Amino acid sequence: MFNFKRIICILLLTTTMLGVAGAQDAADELLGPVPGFETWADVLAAAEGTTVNWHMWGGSDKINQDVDRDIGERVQALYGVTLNRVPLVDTADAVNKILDESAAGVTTGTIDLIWINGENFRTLKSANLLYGPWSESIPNARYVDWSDPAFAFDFGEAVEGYESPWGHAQFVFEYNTDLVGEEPPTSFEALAEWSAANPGLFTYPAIPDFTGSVFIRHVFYWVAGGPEPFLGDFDQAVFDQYAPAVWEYLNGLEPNLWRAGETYPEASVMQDLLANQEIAFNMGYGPGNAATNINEGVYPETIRTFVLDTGTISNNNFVTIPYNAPNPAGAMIVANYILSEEFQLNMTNPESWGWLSPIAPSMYSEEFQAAVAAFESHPATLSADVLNAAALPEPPATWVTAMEQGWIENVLEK
Amino acid sequence: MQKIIRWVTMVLIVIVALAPILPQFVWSFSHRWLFPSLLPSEWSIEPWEYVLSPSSRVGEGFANSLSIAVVVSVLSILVGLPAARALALHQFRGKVVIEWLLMVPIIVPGIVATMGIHQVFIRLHLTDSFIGVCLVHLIPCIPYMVLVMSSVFANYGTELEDTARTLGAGPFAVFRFVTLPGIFSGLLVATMFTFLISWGQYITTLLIGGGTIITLPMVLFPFISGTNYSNAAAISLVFVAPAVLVLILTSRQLGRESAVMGGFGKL
Repeated sequence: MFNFKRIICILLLTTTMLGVAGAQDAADELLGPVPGFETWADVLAAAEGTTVNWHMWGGSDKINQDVDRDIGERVQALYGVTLNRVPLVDTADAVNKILDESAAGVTTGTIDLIWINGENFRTLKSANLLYGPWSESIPNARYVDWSDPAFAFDFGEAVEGYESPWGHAQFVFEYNTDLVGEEPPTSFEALAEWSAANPGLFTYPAIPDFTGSVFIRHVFYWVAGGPEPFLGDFDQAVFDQYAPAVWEYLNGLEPNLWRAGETYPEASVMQDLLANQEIAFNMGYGPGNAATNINEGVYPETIRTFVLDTGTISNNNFVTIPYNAPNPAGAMIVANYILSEEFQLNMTNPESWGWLSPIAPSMYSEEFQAAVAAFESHPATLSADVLNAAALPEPPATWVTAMEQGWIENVLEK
Repeated sequence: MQKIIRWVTMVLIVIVALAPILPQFVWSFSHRWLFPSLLPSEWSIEPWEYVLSPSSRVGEGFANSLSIAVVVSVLSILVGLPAARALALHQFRGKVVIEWLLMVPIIVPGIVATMGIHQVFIRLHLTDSFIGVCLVHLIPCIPYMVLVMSSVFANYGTELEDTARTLGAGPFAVFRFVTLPGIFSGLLVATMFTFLISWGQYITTLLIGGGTIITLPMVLFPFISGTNYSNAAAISLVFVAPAVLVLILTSRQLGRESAVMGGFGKL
């Protein structure tokens, strides 16, 4: 068996090395059906010379430039596909456009690819407004373990071949070593003690802020001793069992929060407050956010990150193709390129993109794994090992709604 | 004495108008500017390098925004000028209704109207095109054109036009030598308004243009929602440049004939 695999590997490698640039694709085949195309060669032929309109959040010059250079220029060189990155303030803008187009019966829209996850994906998928299924069939889907719930579900919504992995996010806390020292409080007990001793320097965003909502989920996980009680369908009895302790903790924390808890900042404002030393902690889904902000001069050099001893929530984000995409072939080629070893190396390189990849390095070649192991991350970024060891799953949306509502009634209004 | 007062006033106006732009200018050259430093601790020209790089799409956005705003201004004049004149100088049935309808695009939240407009434009095959974006910008622009111009026409007597006509002037000559000079300053103000309203459109451009038409607000606004103020500041300086330029160019005109400004009182 092993030998058989080896022979195939050698055969694949030989075919790859035999030709120039495009020959690598000769070995690539669709792993399953995709709507409208018989073979991967058909997809490549249909996409050559076309443009892919990729709608994505455009508020980071680094991401904008990285995408144009490391994806746009590469898919142009390899497949003759031109990438048109359309900058968005909010992904919901693209979702609304598709909803409008569907209401008006438009069969050919303008959006080929969207950077998406969670609620926006659920909106489009439940309205049947996505092209596919396709993501399990593109050649590089062989690197994705689709049985892993992190790929099979997106905030509880079944992926089912309608979106392909793009990035990975994990909740981390950022702190200023000038104010906190080298040993941050990495448990909720320690955090309460620290805040009591240093009032006014900790806070979290208020519900319905996305980041604030995640913070509260962590308190629930801590009170319950793990995420397990919250991973199934919503259960009022389970909720009532743990919720009082959560509200007690948060209400106890409140007088020691920034501005004595009379007001809670927005997540985007917390970055400014941390940068300007008005608070000592920030939190969010970007483990590399602190490093990027230090490099861009948004943060002082003294910012570092930590995860809780009890772990932090992580999730994946994806790219999806709308039902009326004018160029699904080109979009699949971009999604496929994202999963290629060449791009993954760029993505995980701290000196290039510095992202966490959703794909485990072990899915790629040994050279790849050796290269990834040799990367040295920014001092403000935790290692992939630390993050992976701490990773916790997201609860389904029904739990999130109940937790948010409970916080408003029992913490905000108390 | 009067001269001194006028100078002091002018300097004050310039300070009030330009002071908010000054920190933007400093931000656009800063790499690290944190409390409590009065000035950035590290300077950099990186934000400007980004503005000039093709990835920022600022150049493309500027060219698109400019050509759209010019087309919208011209169309606004063509539609709004006759409408304003009719509303100001003639009495007719349903006038109040028409005045009210003209105000609707200003009163109704833009996003509500835009969703409906998007549906209509899709059916008319106007989406994802340059002309579609121009047309959707016209909707918030025309009310301002009509508002300003109808107050100008309200203070404008038609006697001179009648006189010109009795002296044998044709319609074009009357417009060119009598009407236009009479309303010119007001028209300048109204055009400036429409230009700037078109210049600042974001959600209408995104929905109707569908990402095929990239304008300056589309590359700027994501940065305002982000955290890198240096880039936001650099792009926003490019964004306000035409506004400041238009203000400087038109202020000379307006200063000369301040009587026109008195006409604003009407509506």
